[in-house]
Amino acid sequence: MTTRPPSSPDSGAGERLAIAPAPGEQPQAATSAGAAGKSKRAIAGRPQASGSLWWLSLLSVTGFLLFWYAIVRFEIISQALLASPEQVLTTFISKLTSRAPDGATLGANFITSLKLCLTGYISAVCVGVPLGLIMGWFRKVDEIVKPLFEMIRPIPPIAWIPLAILWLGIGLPAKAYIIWLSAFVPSVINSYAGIKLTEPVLISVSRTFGATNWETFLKVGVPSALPMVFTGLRLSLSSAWMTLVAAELLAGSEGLGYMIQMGRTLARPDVIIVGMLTIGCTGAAMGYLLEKLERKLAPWRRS
Amino acid sequence: MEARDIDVTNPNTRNSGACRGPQPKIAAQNVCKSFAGIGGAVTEVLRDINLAVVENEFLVILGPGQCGKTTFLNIVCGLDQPDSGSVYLDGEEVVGPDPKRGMVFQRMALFPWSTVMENVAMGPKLRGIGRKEREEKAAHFIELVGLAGFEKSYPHQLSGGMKQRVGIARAYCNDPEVLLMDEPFGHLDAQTRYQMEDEVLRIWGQAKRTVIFVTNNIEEAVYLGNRIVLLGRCPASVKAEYAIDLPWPRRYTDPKFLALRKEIADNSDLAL
Amino acid sequence: MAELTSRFRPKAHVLPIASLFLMVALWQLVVGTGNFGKALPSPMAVARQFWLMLFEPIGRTSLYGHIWASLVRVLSAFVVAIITGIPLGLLMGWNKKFEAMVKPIFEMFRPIPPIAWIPLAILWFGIDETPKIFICFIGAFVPVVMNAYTGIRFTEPMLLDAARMLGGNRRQLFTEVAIPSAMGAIFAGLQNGLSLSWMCVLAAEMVGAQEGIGYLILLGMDMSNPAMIITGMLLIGAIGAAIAVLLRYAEKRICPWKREISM
Repeated sequence: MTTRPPSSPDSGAGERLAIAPAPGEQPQAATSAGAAGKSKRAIAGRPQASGSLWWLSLLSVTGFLLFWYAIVRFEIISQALLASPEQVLTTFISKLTSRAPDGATLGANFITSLKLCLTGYISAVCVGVPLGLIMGWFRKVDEIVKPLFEMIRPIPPIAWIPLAILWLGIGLPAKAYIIWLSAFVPSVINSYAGIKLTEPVLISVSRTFGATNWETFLKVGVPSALPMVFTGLRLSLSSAWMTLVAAELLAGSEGLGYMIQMGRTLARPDVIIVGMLTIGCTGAAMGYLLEKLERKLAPWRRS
Repeated sequence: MEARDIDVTNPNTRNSGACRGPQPKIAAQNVCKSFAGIGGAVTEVLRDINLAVVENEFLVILGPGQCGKTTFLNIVCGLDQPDSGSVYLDGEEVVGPDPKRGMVFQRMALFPWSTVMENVAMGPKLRGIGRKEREEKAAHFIELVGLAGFEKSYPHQLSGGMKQRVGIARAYCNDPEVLLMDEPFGHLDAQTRYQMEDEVLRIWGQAKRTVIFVTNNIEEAVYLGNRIVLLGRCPASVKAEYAIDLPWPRRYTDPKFLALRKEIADNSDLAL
Repeated sequence: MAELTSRFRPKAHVLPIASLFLMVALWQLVVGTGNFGKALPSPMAVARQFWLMLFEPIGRTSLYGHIWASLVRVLSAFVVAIITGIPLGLLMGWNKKFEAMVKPIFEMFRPIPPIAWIPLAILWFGIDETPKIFICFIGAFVPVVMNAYTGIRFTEPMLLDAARMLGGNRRQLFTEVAIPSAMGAIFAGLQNGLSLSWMCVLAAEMVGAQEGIGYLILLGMDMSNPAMIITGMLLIGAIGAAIAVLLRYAEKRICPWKREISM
């Protein structure tokens, strides 16, 4: 595996490693710690602080919503294809309690999807992170496991769906397996890279204190790898969430992915959009929570 | 040399922006600057800086670390604005950056995606000068700083000293009237630093410009400058000025050198 | 011990290759015992299937036809994403007013996974090439924009100072400093976008297509032919890796100043 020295602005090795062809991740914005703190002045050449531009944002969003409303209201796009904002809102509210038209309330779908995603995700990172760390530290393990891993890695999780269905049938086990796999790969890769980037001088320091290899691994390697481990956790989470939606869409009978697929079958764009927005918000919220967790557990950031 | 006219016996000499003799090349009058820090606390960095630089002299600004030397140089260059007071070049007030004031940065600030030649020729390029002409010009300065043969190298392939030579060549290539050097050798190892001190004197000798050189290293200051302006700790103001009469090449072990060094050291806020 | 030495050690390559062979041999053995029935094909069966697929048409077209179909969808979407996404991201990162106007709208769409767009896309465009390319476009668009945006935003202030000192105006700072400085991030965005796009084409093909590699593995599932599925999967992995390598090569040519550390 090749990596880059982590350097702003492209947020370093994390993204590059979780790529080709990685399970889809939302690219994380580069950490703000380093570059932004360098200069007290605003970036030379750029106009001053943007706190004063919030009105422009508000205007823009309002304009967008109005435009959206208008093109549906005035039948520029037919109502069969696009639902206007208030229709989406009404459907959202009604779906909170009603099972129509796909068979379950929004809340039920949401919980089903979330449960499945989190079980797959948590079990995958519980295996993947230690594996990546150990592979990155102990050469023998690396040499044995790596070839198998490198064979699995380029295959996108979605490509596993047909095989999983053939082996495990349409249903929970197949979906769980695919979600597990999609979260597994990025967490291994990023933990591996994180611990490989342990600065040799820190290892030497530990040796001078008489620590064994295992102790050095635990006390120096692992903490030093934490920022990248967290990058991997974030990528794994967004990957798991994405794969879950795909699995439910293609071969599901419940959950948010199934709901939006049903929305299409029944030509209900409002249901589809409600589902899409729920999916988006949940993904964003989970990412945000993870970021808060990271700030607590690993407040030092490699910038 | 006009530098002798400056009264050095009085450690509190303030030139008030005018020295005896012809109009100074650069004059700073009552320059003040503060920064807003974390939590709203305001740090006063520069207080009433007054100094004058004569044409073609090598002025060294010496002061302890974090005392605003870089801030002051940025203000002279035009990259930053003073809160009050002004800086004048040939009588005209400085309001923004200008090719007349070239700067060599502490951290080199070379464009990593450009070769040495492209870096050095960047100034003329930004001013719209044609390719052939600017490359000829750049080649001249690359040779002047001793990097002939490295035109096609990238910054990451160069050592620290070489990178700084590129920085100097790049500043020179833009036809500046004044060269501002912000602790250019601060990040080099001692050996390279001694080498570069000699190099900068050689280059300055061959291509005379007005130079303002900032450093926190007292030996470097005495080694290089016609005149040393001593800045105090934060909030910084001019503590004293010294004219250095020794001929070049100077020697670190020369008794006169050491006497001057002691005099300046005793008067300064530098931890020695 | 995380060793970072770079001596060439031929012996170091023996163990992984041997391990790989061992794994394949084990696979063959396990299947040979017959415990897995038809579910797990042996390596030989996969190889045989692959050989077959090379010469016989599957469905409407040959294997190459399917590969080509998928590639065309991805690449056309990718090109559109680059043309629209990079300028958008660059402008967003450079101009605060533009950022204030455009970013909130972008942030509304960004968390929605491209695959979640499939039902809407099919509703709008039916089941033919357009929805597939649309999904791939969305997949590539988001990372391309975001990376260009962060790339510009984190331009080193000192480099901008140096250019101002040399006499550059605002436009020149943008073209001569900010954009080259962001190239690394831009290429990272391209890599992410391409691999995401590749994933999306599979999903889109699995929903409704008559050709393409996604269609192939779905066909394998319908025909209960795991050897076909596995061949398809390996192909997907190989092609995805190949285009990533090509992109990396392109980057090396366009940005010769970047260094990489191989581990």
